[in-house]
Amino acid sequence: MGQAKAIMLVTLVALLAPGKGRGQEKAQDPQAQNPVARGVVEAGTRGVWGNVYGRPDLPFTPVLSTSKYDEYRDLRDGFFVRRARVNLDSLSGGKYYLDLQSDKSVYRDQSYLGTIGQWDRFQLQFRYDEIPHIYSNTTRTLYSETAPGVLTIPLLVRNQLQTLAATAPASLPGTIQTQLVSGMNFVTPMLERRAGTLSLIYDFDEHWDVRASFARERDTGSRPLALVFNSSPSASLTGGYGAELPEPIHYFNNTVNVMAEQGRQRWALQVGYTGSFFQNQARTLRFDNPFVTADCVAPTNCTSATQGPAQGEVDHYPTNNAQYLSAGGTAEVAKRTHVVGSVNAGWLHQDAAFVPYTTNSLLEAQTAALPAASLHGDKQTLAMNYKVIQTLGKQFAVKFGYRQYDYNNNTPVLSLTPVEGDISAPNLASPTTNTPYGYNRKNIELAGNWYFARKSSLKAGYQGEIMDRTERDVAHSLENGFVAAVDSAPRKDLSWRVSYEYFDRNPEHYVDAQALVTAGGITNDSIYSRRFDEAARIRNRGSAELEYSPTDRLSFSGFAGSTQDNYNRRGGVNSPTALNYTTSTAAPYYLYGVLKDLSYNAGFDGDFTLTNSVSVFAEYSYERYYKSMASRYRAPGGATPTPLDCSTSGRGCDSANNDWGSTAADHVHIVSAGLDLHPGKRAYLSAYYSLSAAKGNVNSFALGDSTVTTGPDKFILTGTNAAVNYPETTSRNHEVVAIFRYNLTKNLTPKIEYRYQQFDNQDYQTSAMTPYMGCVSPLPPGAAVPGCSSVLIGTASPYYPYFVVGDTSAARFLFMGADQPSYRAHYLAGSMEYRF
Amino acid sequence: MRARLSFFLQVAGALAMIGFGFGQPVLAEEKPARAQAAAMADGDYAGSEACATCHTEQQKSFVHTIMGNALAQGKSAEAARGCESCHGPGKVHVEAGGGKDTIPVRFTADSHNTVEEKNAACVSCHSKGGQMFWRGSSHESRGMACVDCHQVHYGSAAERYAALGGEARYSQPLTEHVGTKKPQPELCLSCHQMRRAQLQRSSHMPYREGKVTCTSCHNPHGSPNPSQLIQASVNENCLSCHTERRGPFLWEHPPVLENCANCHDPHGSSNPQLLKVRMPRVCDSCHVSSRHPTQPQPLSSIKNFNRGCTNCHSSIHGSNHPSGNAFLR
Repeated sequence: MGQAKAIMLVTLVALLAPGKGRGQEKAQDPQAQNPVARGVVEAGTRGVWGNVYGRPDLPFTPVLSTSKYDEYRDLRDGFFVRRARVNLDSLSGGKYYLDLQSDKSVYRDQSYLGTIGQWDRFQLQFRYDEIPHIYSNTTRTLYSETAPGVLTIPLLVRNQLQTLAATAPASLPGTIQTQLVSGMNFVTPMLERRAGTLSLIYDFDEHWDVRASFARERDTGSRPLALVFNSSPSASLTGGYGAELPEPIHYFNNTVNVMAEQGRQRWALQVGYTGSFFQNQARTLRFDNPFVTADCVAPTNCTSATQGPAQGEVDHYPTNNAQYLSAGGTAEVAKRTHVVGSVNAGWLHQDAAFVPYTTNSLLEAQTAALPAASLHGDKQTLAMNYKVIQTLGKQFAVKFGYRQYDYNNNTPVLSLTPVEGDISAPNLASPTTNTPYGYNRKNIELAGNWYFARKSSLKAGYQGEIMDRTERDVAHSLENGFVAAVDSAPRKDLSWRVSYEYFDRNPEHYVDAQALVTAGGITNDSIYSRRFDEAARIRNRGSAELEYSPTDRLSFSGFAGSTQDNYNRRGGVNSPTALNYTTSTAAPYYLYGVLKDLSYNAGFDGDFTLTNSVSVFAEYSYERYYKSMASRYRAPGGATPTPLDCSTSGRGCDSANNDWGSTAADHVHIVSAGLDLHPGKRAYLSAYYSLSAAKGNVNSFALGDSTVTTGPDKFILTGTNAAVNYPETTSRNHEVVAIFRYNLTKNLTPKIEYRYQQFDNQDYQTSAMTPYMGCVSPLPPGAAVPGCSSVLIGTASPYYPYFVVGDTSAARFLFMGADQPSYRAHYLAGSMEYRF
Repeated sequence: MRARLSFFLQVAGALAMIGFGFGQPVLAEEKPARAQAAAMADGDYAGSEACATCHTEQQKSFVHTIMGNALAQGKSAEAARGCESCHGPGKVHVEAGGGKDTIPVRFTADSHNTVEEKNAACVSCHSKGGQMFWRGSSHESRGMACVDCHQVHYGSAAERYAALGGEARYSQPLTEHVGTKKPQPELCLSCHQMRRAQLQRSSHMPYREGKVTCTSCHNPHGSPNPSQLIQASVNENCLSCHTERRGPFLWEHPPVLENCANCHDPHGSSNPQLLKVRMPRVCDSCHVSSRHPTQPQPLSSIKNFNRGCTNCHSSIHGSNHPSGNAFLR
């Protein structure tokens, strides 16, 4: 299909290219008498070679063509048409124009754009895009799709796993590792997004027009999706299984847009409709339980460790639609007064049929009837924006803005009795209801600009936000802010800007409903846990920019900025006293959750034209992100939980001595340098090197006193509860590029392009992933997983220093082993650019 | 929440306010330069032929541009003035035998015209479509001129393609617009340098590949919405492509409904899935409840590697399964 389109396009280009001089229609414009096809075609041949590295543990070598190098593109060897464009701007006596473009023809990341129109009358356009998205090149799975939405594993394999799990659980990891994983099929989870859009703009006259478009998009492929068969978040040896699957994706999305607009010298108005209709052709996914072949609920025929459903079922994103009506306008309504307004009302609807509560046939009879066949999900949104700009003489301007966004959730509240995990009967006596969250956000802005000199201004103003929520912790909050900025260009070669913003957000009350419910002697949520998107916050944000061009040959710019969010505020909705266990602490905290969220950035770039044929550039930027949080390990007690006692099992534990903190920091350096050479009139050489180097650190630490080993406040953040630092993650992307062009003739430019990319990736979350992680034991003195014979037992990873995976709870979780390893790639292309 | 009737009343009221605004009389006292130029007598205009007499080379290339064609074929009185529709009446310039100072509106760096005067020449025609909300927009307030980004005298599409230098650092998105000084995203990144750094991150949308670009989400000419977004909110912007996550769902995760940017950074991240903070800490930031969400989680935990918390809570954006209240399915 794609090839046919590409061939058609190239043919069309070839047909149109000699069109110079054709078409002898008369027109007033001399150039219109000879419609000329103008354009460019760049085609050539290319080769890509290199290797994927960093995973010597794998029994295969991941290939480059499905690596992160080709995450969103399709760089295959051979002939390619990078881009083609043909443009006829004087068809039919100059009245009509035609423009055809292609990009990366034939390949999976191709795009086409065709436009035909009549000047000052209409424009009809067709656009087609393909976007690939490869998730991993190291994935393997036991599953295969035997019917739409059904993933199965051979029964023989499941029987063997089930028998081992029931009779010889100690040998299960070793068997999976040595026999099962080696027989898994390779899959490349990837999506292909294909979208076509037909649009029309019709000008009735110079003042008003209508616009309409229809877009249809299709997404197909698969992506990794992890699922569990039990209610416990861990698929531990004491019950439960899990599997990561290649989730089949089969989406359609149709979008219709119609808009009419009228534009005059002093006012303009537009009204429009947008309808977006999403269809999921793979509505549900049923998948085999690798370890259970028949539904079983303990204690009949199975134990709590071996029970489970024979199949799981997940309800995919439901078919839905959203429709919007919009109106907007702008007008000079009075002397020096300009108003802008827009209203956008939306209706979101979803009515896909519910699937049953459970796939476990033994539990199905115990479930209550579903309260409805479908949700009748219904929401309305209303965005209103109004702005008034008043200029006061030549030096002053005042802007007032008001915005309201209403998210009105009218979805029915249903009473349901979920079956969590398909292993235990629902609690019919205690149904659960869904929550129709909604909110209303109002923003006010009043700002003044003083243009104190040419190209120089001072801005100062107030910004406020009123947030009203339903069904969340904070029903009402007010945020007040002050903003100021100075822009100045004191000289022709110099301009700078500094800005500062200060915001103070104050929730009226913070009422976490789960913090009012007690179970096992402790509240479900910590009473001082605060969610950062609702919590009290002070935000300071500042930035500075400078541009300096002392000569025509030299330009320099620099920037620096920081945003600092502080949630750790004493009193108000937070605790009035420090929550620390140790009272004489130098770092008190007054809430649980995010304490600080800081970001810094700085950089510069410079361009220098050494001679008329040589110019160089250099860029550097640095970013740092830092987030700190506080939490507490809390465990509910058993039947007699009070008084709480962290030293006694079953008595519940909720002591500040088991508070812990964590910081997440990302550092990113970007360096680029390059040159452009233009030796002589015909030759051009562009070359550059760039490096993007990032590292991330997630560190965790106990905030209590580890010496308290007895009593109600016993320190228990040890062993599997320990707060530890995670290995550093790093990613480096090197790129070296050299492009040489030579203008052979006025129309022909051969080009040689070389690119080298190296991606070094070390990420503890994925760099050690294999389809089975339960076979990797923790370092001594941690207990080894029984039966596991992995070379990694008790040792650090040979391919990822400092990294040891050892999760006994993963012993019955089959993953896909999704990773995006490091790579080196060389790209060499020779192409010819033909302009006509 | 408000009743449905209230919702419709709000819509009606808002539309009425808009309508009221347009019904107001226009008291035009100070007209922009373009309007002033247009208001001058026809006798002040020299005609494009007169311009071409001296500015032959510019005229040759200009006729192949979109603007050149639009003016040549335009039906309005403005369009009929050709060069003078933007540069203002040229009779004085012709009679003076040339000279920069006698051109009413010039757009080059050494122009003495104010930004407002330069922009007025563009805005008087480009007052609809994507340019409707230019007045009061961030870029307009910062004193940016249209010609800071756009170039009218650029020649043909082919010349433009060659001049832009192909795809050196970023693959260019396919577009019919050729009148920008640089292709996207380079044009925007020349000022928004922080974004250039973010686009280089390992976790990114296909910006570098030219499949998504700045104007996929933002309208640099202004919009009534925050951050010059095309859609009415951050979420409407994200969900215009990620329509499957739109819901409404039976079980919903409230921070997801309010702002995708609570957890994700759309411009790029060093963490998987464009997350601002990687799992499990992104979840721990809010969930201080009991049992496993409040454990610090040593590295060996299943909650730490692969997909982190979403190894189990995979439907975290919302679930329509009757038993999906914990977002497990």
